[in-house]
Amino acid sequence: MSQEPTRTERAASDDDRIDADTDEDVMVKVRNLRTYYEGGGLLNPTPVKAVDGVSFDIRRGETLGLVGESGCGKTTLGRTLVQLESATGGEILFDDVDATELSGTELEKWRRNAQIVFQDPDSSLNDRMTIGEIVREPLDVHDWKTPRERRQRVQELLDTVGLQREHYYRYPHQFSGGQRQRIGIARTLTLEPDFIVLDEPVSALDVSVQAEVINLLEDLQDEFGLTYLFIAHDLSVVKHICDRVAVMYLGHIMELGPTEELFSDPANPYTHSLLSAIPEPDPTVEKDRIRLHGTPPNPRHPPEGCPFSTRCPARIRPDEYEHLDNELWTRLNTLREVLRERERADRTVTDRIRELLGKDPRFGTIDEIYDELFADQSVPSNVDAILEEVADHVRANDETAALDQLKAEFGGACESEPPEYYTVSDTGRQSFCHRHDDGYRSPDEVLNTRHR
Amino acid sequence: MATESQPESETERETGTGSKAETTADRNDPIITVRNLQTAFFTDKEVIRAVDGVSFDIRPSETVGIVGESGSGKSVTARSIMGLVESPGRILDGSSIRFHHTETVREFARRFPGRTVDLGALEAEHDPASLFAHSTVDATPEAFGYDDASEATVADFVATGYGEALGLDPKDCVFVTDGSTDEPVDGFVEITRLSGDPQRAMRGGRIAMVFQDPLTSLNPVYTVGNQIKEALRLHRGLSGAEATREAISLLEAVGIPDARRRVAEYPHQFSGGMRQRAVIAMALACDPEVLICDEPTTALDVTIQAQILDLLEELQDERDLGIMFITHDMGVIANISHRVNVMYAGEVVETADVEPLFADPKHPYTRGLLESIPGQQSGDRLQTIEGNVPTPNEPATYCRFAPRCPEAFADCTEVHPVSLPVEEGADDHTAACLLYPEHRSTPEAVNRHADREDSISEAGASPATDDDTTGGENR
Repeated sequence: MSQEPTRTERAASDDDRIDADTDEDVMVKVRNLRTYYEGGGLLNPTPVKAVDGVSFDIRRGETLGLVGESGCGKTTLGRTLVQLESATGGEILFDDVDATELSGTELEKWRRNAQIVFQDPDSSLNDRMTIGEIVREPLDVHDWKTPRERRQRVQELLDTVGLQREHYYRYPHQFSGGQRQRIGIARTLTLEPDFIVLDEPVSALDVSVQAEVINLLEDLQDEFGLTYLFIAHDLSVVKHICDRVAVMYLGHIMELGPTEELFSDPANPYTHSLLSAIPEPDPTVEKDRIRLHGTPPNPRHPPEGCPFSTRCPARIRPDEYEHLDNELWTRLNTLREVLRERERADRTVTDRIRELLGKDPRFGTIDEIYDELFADQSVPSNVDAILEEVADHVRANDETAALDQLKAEFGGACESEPPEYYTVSDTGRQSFCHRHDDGYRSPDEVLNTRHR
Repeated sequence: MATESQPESETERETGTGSKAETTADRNDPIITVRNLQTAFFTDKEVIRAVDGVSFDIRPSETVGIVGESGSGKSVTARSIMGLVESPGRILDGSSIRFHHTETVREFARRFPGRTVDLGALEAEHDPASLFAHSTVDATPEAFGYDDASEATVADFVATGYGEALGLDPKDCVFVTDGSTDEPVDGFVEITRLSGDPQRAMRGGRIAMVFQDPLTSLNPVYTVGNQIKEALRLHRGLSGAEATREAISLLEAVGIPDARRRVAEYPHQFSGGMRQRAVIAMALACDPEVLICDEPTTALDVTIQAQILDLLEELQDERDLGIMFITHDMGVIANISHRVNVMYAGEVVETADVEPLFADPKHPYTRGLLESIPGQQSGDRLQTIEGNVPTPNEPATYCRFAPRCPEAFADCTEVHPVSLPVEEGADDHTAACLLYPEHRSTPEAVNRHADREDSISEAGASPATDDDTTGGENR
């Protein structure tokens, strides 16, 4: 596939999505949003791409779940939506107002409508303020009515979230984790926002307390017609509370669709892997776990093609290696991971001297690595020949050349260009994977043959 | 288990935890036996009984799960076994944690001859039954799990902190039950009596621990290799290149690629999952028999959690490790453990093998925990357990779960439930709830709990209940 058609196709798919949404009551439109943390000047110019071009809609009154591993950018995305971080690019349209363009008093006014509940109830409440002061603060900031009315409002709110009016004069340390999270929720509700970002609101709580807070959030949504963006890494919570779910990986949305469907019939290989990693509270279930190897790549140096390509269990392989043993394939991936890390690791002067003197160098030789990785594998001769060439590059301390060679040989579409969003069901579910293209077998099929 | 040999009889089958080791003889013999463990923290305001009468076993190549909400005493149990309880906390008299491992007993007897005691000799001098009358002993036969004083052994007394009645030095901690102190054939090390050198040899060397947050259990200013080598130097006397080689092979064993480069890196250069792997490598450095994992995956993502759980399983198969796994995640417990103890407010409220526990939870608290997991229920609203875990600051004379229990009845505030089999013959599945044993009517069951509890606390601080109130009332 060349670069040209890709672009047009993608534009088309974008348009489709917007068209499909016109009959829905869309509240927040996010288009190609990017949030980078800058590398900080000359010495380290590569930014960390925390959110790297995401587009989605949030409909009025729904709960959109946002899940992913830590470091995938879900919290940054949530904070950008309420303008606690400024976006590097793209737009966030709240009822056709672009929040990224707002500043000064406009932004302050707009903030009444978009609030956030933070993850850790211990650090998000000021221990020196009473509960009354904490919950009243937004009212004070926005100069809402008279002080007497403010107090009245706060006491009503404490009632609403299941606390008592007398708690107004107490301090945060007198409350348990669940109660503190209720206080945080009361604070977000003071200005009657329409949209609330819930940033892992229950992950610091015990399971029974967690259930109470989730019930409260659902009650409040019904009562006030709230729209939630629910960020979590606990998929079972998301399954319970969300209408639609977006799965994020390394700054990209990998799959987005209705909860039920996404959980019962995931389309993207990453969703597959994530779901299969959840431990079921049932000891009799024998799961065919799809085991993901390694950890997500550094968002400062994301892979060129699909963000998930370094770990993907359904990655497209070149035809001649399609039937390579799975274990050997994993080892080859590990080799590339090791070389990538070496490429970035600095060799100190001492290291170089030790290497020259042949004295127990810090960087093990390539032979040792091969020994560790491939000694117990039967390596076909064609693969072996390539490994030899790669070894020569590494011996010459040229990891970049070694990596290029490995990529040229074992890489496929997944590593050379980013995939597009494909609509994978009637409900408009989107998945970000090359495998949905007609030219390839579907992720489902591949995972079945490779991992089950 | 030579010391606890006792006749198997019908009456004894329901005597609870004390005889469980015998009735499940088809399993391996336990390597750690925890009996009536009580750990309390003495603050100016109150005494917090963080662990209050906990009993369970850990067997080689078995994973024992401990599950409960925060504040239920899971971590204090682990720390008690590791000897990591710090002032103002201490393990109370009457608690016993025995480490049965012949090799260890031999090694300890050789290294610490002054602290080794031949129980055979003691038995010849003292009559166990008459020891209950001794002024410093405030235990009853029931506290050891026996029906009659004649069944108690000297070992029970020395192990539970009453050794002074037998004229033992407070430092004695290695007990030989078979053979002589020079040539032990069988015996045990009493962990609650350890201190000084034997304590350090046991902690890390025989029992190792993996903590929740890998970043705080690694020292940021030393390389990972350095920290592994520290353990190797202290416990195995390795140093220099030899230690480095061993550290590298340990890192390889826990699945860290390019270990030779990694060994010279600092913790901040590792990802979260890698750090936890490094911590596990460190715990394995001294080839321990038992690994205590205190929420090792709570700080990790699910995909990484799955990797660590797989790794622990592999290591267990390779090394016959006994693992004690603490978590609040019912999903993780279901995946990794063979046997589960559910803890609530310092007590074990239900014990069973993992399958029966999930298939048919008996204690209302266990049921509540399972029902409040989101995504498992069909209904719109999540089931919750109202209220919070209470702070156990007084001896339990009632069921601590009663205020939150949907099935509580009048007796629950009067009678302290003890662990009894949930039904006839189900010695492997016990619950501390007045509703059980199931095959008896509720008043009858309540009486059983009251009787057992009465006799245990008779000599203790306060008599538990009045028999008149417990017998007549029904639910």
